Amino acid sequence: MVSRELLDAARRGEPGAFEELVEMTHRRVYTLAHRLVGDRHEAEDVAQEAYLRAYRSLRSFRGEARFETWLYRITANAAMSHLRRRGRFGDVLAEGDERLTREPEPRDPDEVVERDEVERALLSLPPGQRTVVLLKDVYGFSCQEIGDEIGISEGAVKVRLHRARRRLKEEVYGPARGHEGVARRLPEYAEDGHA
Amino acid sequence: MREREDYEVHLATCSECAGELARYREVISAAGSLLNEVIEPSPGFVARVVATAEQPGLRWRADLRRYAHDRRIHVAAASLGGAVVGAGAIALLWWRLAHRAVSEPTRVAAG
Repeated sequence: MVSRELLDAARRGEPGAFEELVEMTHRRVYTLAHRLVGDRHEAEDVAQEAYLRAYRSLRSFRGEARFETWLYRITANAAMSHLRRRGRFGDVLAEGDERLTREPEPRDPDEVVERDEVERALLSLPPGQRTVVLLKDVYGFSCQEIGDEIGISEGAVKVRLHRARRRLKEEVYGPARGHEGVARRLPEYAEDGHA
Repeated sequence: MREREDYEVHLATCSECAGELARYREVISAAGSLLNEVIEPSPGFVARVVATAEQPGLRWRADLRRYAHDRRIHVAAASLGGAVVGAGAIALLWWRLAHRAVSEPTRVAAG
């Protein structure tokens, strides 16, 4: 975690302080960029752009949120700008069709899911769904914050998040089982901590 | 509220739906654990980032490269160009009409 002292030193422009900030945070920033744009080289451009924006805005960072959270927001914003510039703005908003990218491997429905499997399943989601589920379930953004970053309402983020979770679950475990009316509400309910 | 209670009763008594809920939770939990999985950028990434941020010349070039690839800038430039050409055409037309309006009564008076 980035300390207050290091942040203050970077704000004052002390030699080496900004480099230390980048050294401490770059793996996670780059990983987020990579997960959002899905390409190693483009992810480096996005992460670099995020650090440039952070460098320019360091003085305005008030410390209300954690520095890393602030940096993730900047990275998400830089990734959205990047996709728009590359003419994939439609992709950012698009949710794609509802078909699975492949038939999931037959598996025991009670088996524990490996992280690699979820990573692969995430990459198979359309960018519009991948973005919301990544920012919410991996990086802990609120639906309001996600809406602000990608330019849609909080309600639209929630709808997209539930569709993304359903698809993610189906990519890993296959089609839904159980009663249809109940299953429809499960992506939302699963987060509540009930039952 | 009643609807929610019914829903919870169903989940408590239907093993199929309870299993499906458990699978959702498993996937959401596995997604959450990805926060600690990192991908390494290429060697020299940190040095490049710091050099670009701290050297104004490199930063300027990075901005220029970004704007050169910005589709919105392309659209704005094309729109501005179109507007300038359109305004020029209207001005020329107006000037020619005004010129004709001034010269024609002169010819009539002379005739």
